[in-house]
Amino acid sequence: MRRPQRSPTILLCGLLGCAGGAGDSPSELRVRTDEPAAAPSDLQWKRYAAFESDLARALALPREELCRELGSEPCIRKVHLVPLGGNEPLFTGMYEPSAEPLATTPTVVDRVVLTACSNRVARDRAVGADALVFAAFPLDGAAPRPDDASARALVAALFRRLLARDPTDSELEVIAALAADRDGQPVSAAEFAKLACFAIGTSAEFLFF
Amino acid sequence: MTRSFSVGRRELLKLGLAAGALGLVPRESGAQTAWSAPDARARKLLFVVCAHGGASIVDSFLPLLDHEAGSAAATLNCFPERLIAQPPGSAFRCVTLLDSYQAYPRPSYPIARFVAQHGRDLVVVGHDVGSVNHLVGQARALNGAGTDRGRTIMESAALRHGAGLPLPNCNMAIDGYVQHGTDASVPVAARHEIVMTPLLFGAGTHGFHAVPEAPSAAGIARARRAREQVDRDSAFRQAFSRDGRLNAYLRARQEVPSRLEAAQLVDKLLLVDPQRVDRRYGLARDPLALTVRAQLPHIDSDRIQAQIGLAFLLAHHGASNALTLGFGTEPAVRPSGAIVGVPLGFDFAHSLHRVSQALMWSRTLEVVDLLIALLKSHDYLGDPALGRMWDRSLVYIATEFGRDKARPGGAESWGSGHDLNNGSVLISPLLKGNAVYGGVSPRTGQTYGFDPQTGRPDPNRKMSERDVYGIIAHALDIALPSGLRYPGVVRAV
Repeated sequence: MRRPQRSPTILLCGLLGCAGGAGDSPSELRVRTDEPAAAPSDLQWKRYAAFESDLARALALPREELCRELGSEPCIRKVHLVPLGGNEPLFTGMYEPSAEPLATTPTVVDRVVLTACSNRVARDRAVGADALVFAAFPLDGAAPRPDDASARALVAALFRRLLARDPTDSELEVIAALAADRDGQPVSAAEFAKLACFAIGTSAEFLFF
Repeated sequence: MTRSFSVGRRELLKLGLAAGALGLVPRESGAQTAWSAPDARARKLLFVVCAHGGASIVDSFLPLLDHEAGSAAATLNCFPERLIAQPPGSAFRCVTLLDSYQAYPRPSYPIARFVAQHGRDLVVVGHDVGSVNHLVGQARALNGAGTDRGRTIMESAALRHGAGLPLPNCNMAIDGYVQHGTDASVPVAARHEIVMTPLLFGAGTHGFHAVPEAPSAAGIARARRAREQVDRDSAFRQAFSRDGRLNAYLRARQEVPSRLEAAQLVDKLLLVDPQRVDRRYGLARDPLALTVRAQLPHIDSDRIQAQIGLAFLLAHHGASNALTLGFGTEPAVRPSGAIVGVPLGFDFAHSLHRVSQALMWSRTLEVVDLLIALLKSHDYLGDPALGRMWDRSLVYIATEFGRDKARPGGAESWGSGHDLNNGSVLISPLLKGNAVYGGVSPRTGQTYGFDPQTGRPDPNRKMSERDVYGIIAHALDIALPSGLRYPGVVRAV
């Protein structure tokens, strides 16, 4: 919405009273006052400890084997503790966690979940028929077709593990479609497993409760 | 404190331009200042170094000499002349190395060295503060006692110069220095990103680079699109469609990762020893990161050096323009076992005032010197046409309050409490440097202020955190609601 140029006096009042901007370009930093008031909600941000616990349980991995950054430091409890909603009071003097997710939180969530999913895929691939999580089809070779029962079985299993519910038909279709690339060619079974796990594990429903 | 600034027609016009900068004037207007996509040439860089615990200005750059204090010398925090140095041509007299540091190692970096190297850009401002509470004082040191709608100076700098940068505002400090400002209208993008592990922070800027056996980038993109679709259509999303936190997160998820990943920051920002990283992670050894490691010899064991390295790289690569660094409450321990600094930082003055202040000022200025050296030796964004990073930088040594000016009669070692009277140190070519703005009273040891228009000292004037904030804002071309300007301190552009 365009606003007429105002006199300096009114602009001074505007500076003191409010700020706003026309347009909503994602690349611009704007002082936002045009958002509707949020309805009261009990929705909570799943912070690092619960996030770690749920992810470990879902992927049947020990917590310490979910993710280590560059193979060294724990991702959740140390390297990415703050964007995952934690705080460290002793050495960094951060007595309280951030009230809200940080700018890097989505990226860090992607990274940690992807690493954890990859670790689980590697474990299941190593044990073949005794796979714990990704047991719907062999992880060597090509992924099944998206409309194949085994592909859908994997998606359903991941929904149950990560979101504690069955997927809807449309969710099945959307996630199972990851078994093929954009040209319709099958990706590797391992890649499909990782992508499906990643897509569901980084969803808003897994991160908020 | 008295202040008699007038906001005349010229100031109102400047406010109008600033209002345009804030988007109150349509982009098509000829009178506006374009800020929504600031030109890199005009961008300013702010580095805030948080001197935790109360860094006393009269124990560093504004010492009182005993002969100046006269009969009060025995009960005031003052120094014999032999402990004071004033480099040639410098406006600053400063405390030299002490005769004794008791159980602590003698520091290797005298304040006078800092003055000799950076005095031309050095500014000391005498002022009072509003609180002797650590957390409150720390917040006020950053938000200018609320002078700019409760925004921290870093948030204001990010809003003014950081649009379009992946992470305009990053904070590595502790305690109250790591708190956001209180202006709810500041967008998430301008609020600071808290950094706890500087050496590995770069890893968190990409969702899948350096993740072993990660799927292809095309596959990740497809998975993210699938996730967006699931999140958009799910019953969960429908139930919480008006949840502000969820909406903010989903918006950030759409905007920030792509910006971060496009900047390819992982290799550029990672400061871990490359010898210790397995090649299977596919990390490229960034030459500048290696150079930074070489110039910060204790980067692996000294958290503040790691912070300096990351702050420099974030600014250099155009990822951030407002960086906050801060000492922890523990001293650093070198590989040799030598202890650098004291426990509790400057606040150890409660037990050992003079020694702890001397040690911490030495440590603080040594690390600031390392930072400035990096800024002076590299072009902004690696582009010679943009000039050295230092040309557009301002370093603010923030601290929450001063220390008691009194000392037990004739004592050489004593403990001090928090004090509302102090001063601040700013270093920048954007300022009229080599100057003390204000002074110190020989009768009381208290600092006093100056005329913001002329810069001349005024023993009857008390400045505050608002003035420090205002000076920084003026230097960084940030318009304040109050319209306050400091032409006596800030160089005209």
